[in-house]
Amino acid sequence: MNLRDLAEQDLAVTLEGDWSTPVALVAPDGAEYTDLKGQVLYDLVRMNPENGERTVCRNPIVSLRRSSLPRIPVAGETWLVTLSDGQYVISPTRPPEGGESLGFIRLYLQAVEQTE
Amino acid sequence: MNFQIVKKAIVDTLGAAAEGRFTVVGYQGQGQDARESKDRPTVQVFFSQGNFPKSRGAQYGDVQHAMIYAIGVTASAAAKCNLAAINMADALPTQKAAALAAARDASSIADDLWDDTAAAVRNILMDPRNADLGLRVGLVSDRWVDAISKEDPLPQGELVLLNGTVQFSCQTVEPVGGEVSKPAVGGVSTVLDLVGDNVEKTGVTTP
Repeated sequence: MNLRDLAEQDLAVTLEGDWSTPVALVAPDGAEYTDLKGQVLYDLVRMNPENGERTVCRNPIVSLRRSSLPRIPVAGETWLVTLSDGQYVISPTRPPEGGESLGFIRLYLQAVEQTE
Repeated sequence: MNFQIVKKAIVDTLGAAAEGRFTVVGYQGQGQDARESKDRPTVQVFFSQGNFPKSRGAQYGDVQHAMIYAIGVTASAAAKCNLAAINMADALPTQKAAALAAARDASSIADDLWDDTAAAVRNILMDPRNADLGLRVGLVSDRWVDAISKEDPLPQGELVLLNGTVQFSCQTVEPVGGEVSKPAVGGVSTVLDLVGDNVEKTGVTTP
């Protein structure tokens, strides 16, 4: 087993271990994937490049192990992501990152509310 | 000075007519949480520039003051989707797919919110009933919304934030009152005393 494969196997601990959070996904075709685990990070301060104003943002980013996903989200698709603190959609302005090199994918989430 | 009174009048005029549609603050914040302006945009009234045209005043006395206020409008929004349809225990995949396909982008919602707020700010300030901004007649004149500018939508974490400015100009007359309770240091000397002048001896008091 090479180091890359070993790193991918380590994701079972680093992403899906004791620090993980339950994650459920609904794909654009309506298929639901539950019982997933991932790492979620929040909060950062961003600078508006146009006026220099600082804005505190709650910025949920979830990292998932690609090999645990039956289907990989791609840019432009609308997925619903359910975390323990609420529901989100994958941000249409920031595509998923991570790729295949280390076996995980990072999803940038946008808050979603019930339509009136 | 009157530009401070006018700024407060703008805040009060907008605040009285906001009716819960937006929040008015009388300063430009150094930073804010994107969630502060979610669903209820923030309107910040900020004195931006004042000009005293030399031709419209006297050397001593009142001067005309052409003022420009930058009224910042900030709106933020989340995406919208029929979550109830997706979260139903017996929802079919086709129903979930339809709900996701009909989800509305946060940028679009923030955009509508911003446009509505900027339009409301302009309509309130240019309403004939607000010609004097609630001040005594003649204190402020020539009010005008010069321009409305909007920046690109900015994804800020889980929300989309939209900033922009409504530029408002008006005029007032500024009296020169001097600084109260601060006498001039050393006073003003009107005595001309030329150093080394032995002929005229101007201003020299002889014993």
